[in-house]
Amino acid sequence: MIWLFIIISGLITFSMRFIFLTPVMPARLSPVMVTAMRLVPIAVLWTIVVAEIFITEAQIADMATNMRLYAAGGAAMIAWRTKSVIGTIIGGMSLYWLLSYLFL
Amino acid sequence: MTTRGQEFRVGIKDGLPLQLGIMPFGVVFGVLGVESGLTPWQTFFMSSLLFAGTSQIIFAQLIALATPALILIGSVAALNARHLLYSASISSYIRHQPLRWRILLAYLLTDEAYAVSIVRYQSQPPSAHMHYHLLGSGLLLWSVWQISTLIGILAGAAIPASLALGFVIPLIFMAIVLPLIKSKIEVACICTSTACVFAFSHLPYNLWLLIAAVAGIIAGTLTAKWSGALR
Repeated sequence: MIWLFIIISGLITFSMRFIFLTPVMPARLSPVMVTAMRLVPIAVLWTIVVAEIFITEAQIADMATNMRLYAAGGAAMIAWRTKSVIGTIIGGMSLYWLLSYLFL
Repeated sequence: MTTRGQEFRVGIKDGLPLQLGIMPFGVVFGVLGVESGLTPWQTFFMSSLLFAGTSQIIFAQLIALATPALILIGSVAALNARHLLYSASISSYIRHQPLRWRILLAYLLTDEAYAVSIVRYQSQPPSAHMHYHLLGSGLLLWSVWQISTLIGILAGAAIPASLALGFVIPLIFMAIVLPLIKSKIEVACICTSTACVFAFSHLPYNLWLLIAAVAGIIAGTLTAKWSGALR
């Protein structure tokens, strides 16, 4: 089953990359569509971030012991200032391990 | 007039710095793919069958959460809808190529290859062989992605679970999203999504994911419309 899901997802992804390279599609999108599509990765990825940090097993996690929240706060500063994916990973994970070691 | 080889090599050269970011991302996917319950073969071949970093990670994560197929595939499709933009944008430069070229280049059209090659197309004079630039940047990324996935799969078994490597995912996504927030349009988008996650997190089938994402997109688009940013 998982193989089928992978293949379907792959075909959909390829179609989206290919469709405007065919003569059947107009070469332009409406401004509303352009804006909406630009926001898609922001909305989807941010939703995952919020869920990963705040939700555990369909419950909102306890703030006091949620080390992910505090580590993510520090990592957000790094992401904002440096725009570096590697820097954000290293900073965020180090902070998470440190906080977990100290307070849990 | 540039030659095929020149365009191809420049494509590779232009794409090289970006591989610093691709490499760890691929390794992380390899580790997490297996950790989320996919077999090593599924994890490895997803990197060539799907060949889209963030949606591969989302795919693995939703599999781990036992998400129904429709929401799983819907999430991947929604996340990759941005490729329509790349396709539309790069179309005028390569749509006159033969079908086999267009299929190959569409397959290789990832965020990073697009970003590298569109700069060449827009800033340099056109050439009959400029599709080789996208071939170069695309093939480079493809190769690095396959190799780094493999490294992640092989290294994954050696990494203890207590390191909580799953936390790398939100960190990567934050590093991608936060620099993109430049106006009240994006702020409206992420604030709405955040509120929806809290409001709907109890819903079954991970429905909150689609609801929060769609609500954020609508809020951002409406903000753009009302502030006159849509033209």
